[in-house]
Amino acid sequence: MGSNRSLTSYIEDHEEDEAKQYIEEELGFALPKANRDRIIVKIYIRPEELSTFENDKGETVSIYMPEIILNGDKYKNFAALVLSVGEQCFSGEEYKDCGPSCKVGDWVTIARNDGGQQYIYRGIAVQDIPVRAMLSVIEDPNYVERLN
Amino acid sequence: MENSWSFEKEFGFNPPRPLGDRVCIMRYTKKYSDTIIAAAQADDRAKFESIVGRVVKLGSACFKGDSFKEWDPKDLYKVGDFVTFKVNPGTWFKYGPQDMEISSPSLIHGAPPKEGRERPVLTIVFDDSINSIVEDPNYIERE
Repeated sequence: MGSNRSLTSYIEDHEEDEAKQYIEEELGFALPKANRDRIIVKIYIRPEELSTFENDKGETVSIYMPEIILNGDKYKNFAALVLSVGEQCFSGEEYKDCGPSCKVGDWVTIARNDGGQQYIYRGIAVQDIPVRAMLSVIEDPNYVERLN
Repeated sequence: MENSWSFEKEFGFNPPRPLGDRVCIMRYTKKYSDTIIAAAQADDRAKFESIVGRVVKLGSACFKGDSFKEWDPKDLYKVGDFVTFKVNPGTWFKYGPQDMEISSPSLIHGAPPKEGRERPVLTIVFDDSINSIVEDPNYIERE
């Protein structure tokens, strides 16, 4: 394995700094710092506009997500963006062959009720979670729609 | 028996990559014949009370725990196997591009019907949450 090569992350070694910088630019502030074996993630809130289509009159129609559903995402959605990874995360023997499970900039799914603390950090919904609460790395947060 | 099934081949996009000793499972929905459609209530029940599914992807640390030390390798499940598990093993979620689903004009006024298929319903569980491998998922009916 390379220095920080991962079998599961979508972020390549050479993209790590770029990913962090891109997120900071998008958010407009420096990323929070996770401690020890904790990870800080930003809860994904789905976009208000779901899709557009043209009706039989040739008019463009947009489908919007109701506000009450979007408000619920903050508490219910379990897709999230990795903002910070603590120094002790992924340092154990079990990560020797597979590398870190995720990196800053990865979209992941998390267990919302497994030792995590949710709070608002500079206006965005984040959750501070232990490594064990990480479930999977996903390609696109829009792919995920929680059912129960 | 070897099986060559893969989520990528069936759906055309990548499944979630489960971490550590977790496994991604796709819920199996019972197929009737082309001329029989299940009642909506039966479908709803199947969604949340399903106990059979297909193994989609394994985390890199699966089967490395102490509980698997005594296991015969042939008893371990693989990607593509149909397996049983306890009810509600984890959070169920639909996964995939939203535009692959059928949008019914009766549900969304004025929307044209689209060719498509339902998004797969997945969950992510620990490797020891699986109870058994089954030959045919249609053999299983929950009491």
